[in-house]
Amino acid sequence: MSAITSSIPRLAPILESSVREVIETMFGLTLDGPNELDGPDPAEIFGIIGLAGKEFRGMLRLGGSNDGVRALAAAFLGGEEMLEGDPSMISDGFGELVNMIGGTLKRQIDESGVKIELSLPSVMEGARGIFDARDGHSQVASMTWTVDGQQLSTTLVFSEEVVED
Amino acid sequence: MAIDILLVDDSAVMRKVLTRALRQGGLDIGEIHEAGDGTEALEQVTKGGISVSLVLCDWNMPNMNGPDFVQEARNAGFEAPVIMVTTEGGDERIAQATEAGANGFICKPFTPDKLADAINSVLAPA
Repeated sequence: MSAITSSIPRLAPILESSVREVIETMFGLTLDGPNELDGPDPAEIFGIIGLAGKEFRGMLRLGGSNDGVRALAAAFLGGEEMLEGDPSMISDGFGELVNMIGGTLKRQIDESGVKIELSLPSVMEGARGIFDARDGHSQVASMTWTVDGQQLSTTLVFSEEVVED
Repeated sequence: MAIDILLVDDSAVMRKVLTRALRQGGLDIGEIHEAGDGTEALEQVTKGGISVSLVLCDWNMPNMNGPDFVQEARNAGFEAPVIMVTTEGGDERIAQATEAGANGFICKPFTPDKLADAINSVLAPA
């Protein structure tokens, strides 16, 4: 795991607990991991949400394979049959997932006294190889998980500096 | 007596997730109506002729957001309890929702049991 020199204590564990809270609580799935992700992110679909405040700016990225994201969406909605006839359900479900993880992360960061706002989530498909775990950022928490045999990556890149009004 | 509910959320996925959680929560759920934003919801509760005993309402939506919908609905005389369902919590949000006229607040993620508890808390007789 990358070293985190953040003034926000224990950011990687906050990311880890946020992912667990959403996927295990809302989906009822068991997460195995996390394991270190340090290099190109092998995911094909990414859900992205921005986090911005006066003292903290960052981006949360959730990645999965096509099959993995489909399996998550099916679990989210209550069965594979719920995805039939509407392909947008898969990307919309993944967007909701990153939104919930971002919201859970925000609540925990807010509790440390650092106020941030969330952007609207977006989903990028067919994006294999465009992200590296570190992406040139010095501050990053990046980890992979296994859910029902499918790999899921979660990466939080961020910078901290006071932005003047 | 079955609880007829209006779900207000711009995400079709979240409306399905909420419907599933409602069915799993052990409550006697009747008809479930849906609206994709506050404007559509306001139309339904003021002019659309639907009768619901509860509204579950998202916060961020296009056209008319959740708090604005609640305020407009209250101004129009709509009295059924409204629970805000949102990703972001915090005292400021809860205060804003209460000031708009909402009766409850639940943060995502939630379990069917947690959702049922939130509903029972606003439907319980005083």
